[in-house]
Amino acid sequence: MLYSAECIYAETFTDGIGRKIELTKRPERIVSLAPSITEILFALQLGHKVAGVTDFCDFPEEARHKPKVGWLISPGIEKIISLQPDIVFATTEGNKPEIIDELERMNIKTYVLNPHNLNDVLSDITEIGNVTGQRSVARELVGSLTRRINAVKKKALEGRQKRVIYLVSTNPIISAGPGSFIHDLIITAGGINVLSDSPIRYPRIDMEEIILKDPEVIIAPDDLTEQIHEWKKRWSGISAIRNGMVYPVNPDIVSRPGPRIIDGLEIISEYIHE
Amino acid sequence: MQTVTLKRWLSSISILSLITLIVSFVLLLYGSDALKPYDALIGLKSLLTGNIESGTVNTILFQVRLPRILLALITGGALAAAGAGFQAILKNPLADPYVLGISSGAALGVIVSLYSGVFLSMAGISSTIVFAFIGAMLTLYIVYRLGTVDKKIPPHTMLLSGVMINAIIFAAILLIVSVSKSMNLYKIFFWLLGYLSSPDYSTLLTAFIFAFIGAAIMFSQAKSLNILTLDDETAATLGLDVERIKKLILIGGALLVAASVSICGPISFIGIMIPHTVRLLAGYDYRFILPVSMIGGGVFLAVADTFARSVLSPAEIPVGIITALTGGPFFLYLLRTRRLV
Repeated sequence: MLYSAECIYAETFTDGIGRKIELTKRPERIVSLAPSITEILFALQLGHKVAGVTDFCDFPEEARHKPKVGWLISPGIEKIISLQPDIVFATTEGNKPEIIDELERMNIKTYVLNPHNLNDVLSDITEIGNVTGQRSVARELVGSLTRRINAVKKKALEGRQKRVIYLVSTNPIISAGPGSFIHDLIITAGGINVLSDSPIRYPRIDMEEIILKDPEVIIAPDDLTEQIHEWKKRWSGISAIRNGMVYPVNPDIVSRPGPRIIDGLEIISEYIHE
Repeated sequence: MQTVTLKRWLSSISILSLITLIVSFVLLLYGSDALKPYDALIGLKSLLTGNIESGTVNTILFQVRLPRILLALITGGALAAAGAGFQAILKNPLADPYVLGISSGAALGVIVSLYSGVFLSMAGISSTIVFAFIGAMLTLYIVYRLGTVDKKIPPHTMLLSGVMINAIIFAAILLIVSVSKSMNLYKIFFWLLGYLSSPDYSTLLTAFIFAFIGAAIMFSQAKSLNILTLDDETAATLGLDVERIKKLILIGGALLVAASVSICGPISFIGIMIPHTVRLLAGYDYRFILPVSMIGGGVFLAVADTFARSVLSPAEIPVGIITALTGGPFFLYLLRTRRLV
């Protein structure tokens, strides 16, 4: 039974940037080049097949003990080759294009993900499921994630829309605009991202921008919220500051395009509709 | 050289100060698209007539924009004055806090203080600015010693040692940043390009005090600098303690650089562009060059910063990009037209 399954496994896949990948057997050794990909692989119960991860892959706990291939931007090509992967999953969100060209020259099968919003995350999970032969697990996971997204959307329709700002950093002040996952999460959760008019994804902005757009909810990485609470002394004119609507979030779960981003969505939704 | 009478000095400086005031007022009206100049003017008027509803306008004008303009005036002025002083004692038209690596030295001091978590606060003065001063001082000393050949400082050795020290310090900064795996990457990136924000008034006061002491030291030596530009031996025969003057200028310069870099990061080329323009327009008397450079540097940075935050509104670009884009070509122009040895 197992033998025949191996035999009929010959398929061609098209990845997120339109490249064709031909597989003749089900991948047994998988290298992940991004924390989000590692999280997807573990969620698809492929943890035992993960042969290598980046230095930044810290979730789930087991991922920390996998062989490391280096940084997100510049993973070590020699290390990847030495792990003899059947497939490498890379991403346009962090890996340099040169890495992918180089892997291709080494005849290492490389599947590139190219997620830009929540829907892309779901289709990425489905695709990784297809490529790795975990179709049914992927279908189940995507099904449950979709149900959770729909619940958030329903809540969004019922509640009042609030003006929201996400702060990546406070000194300098950097926020998130269209094109970022955080923007998509805020919109989906029924908020209005006050930086919807930003021409860049992570704009550096001036305090007066925040004062004038007067967000009702401020969301920021947990290590920044204390600092933002201190704004009360100078910027108490901002609604969110005056009303204490400053909320912490683990930055990983709102910025990594993996399954946990739905946790991020639910948390943001809670903050908006509290 | 035009002769400087007290009357002429006072009238020139007061005219320039008046221009600074007017420019600052105009810049106060410019900012985010959401509060346009006309609305700001109306808001300002209603503030003066005692209308209480204008709380937001009040905050934006006097808590966001004004501190930022003042910071630009202090920082730009400090860098320009430091550049003028360095050019005088090193007898090198290309000497500048940024080119010589002094700004990077101060930046390294700031980053060391941020990452080592030393947040001592003595008499309201944060440790960051003290670390910036130490960094600037150490770098100055190293560049000065490395650049000295046979008790003289040939322009090219000075410049080369500055460039190399700059490269080494930048590598050290990047090493600290990458090893620490910090989430502060954005912050460091923006900060290293030089950026302005709206500091609170106590931070502003600290920077002002550092810059003021630095400028006072420099101004006190302005007359000696005029003689020093001849050459060291002539100056010595005229009874000047050349080494002491140089040391004072270096300390004053380090104070000025620390004041600007500790808040704004290393901003490029102001120290080179402004003093040269001033020399072209106002002659070679340092009693003029120093204060006029200070005023000119401040106004230039304030205007550049207004551009930096309005070209991509609501996003802003680091002001260092604008100073580099204008200052880089100017530097090359000087390099091509001035004789260096």
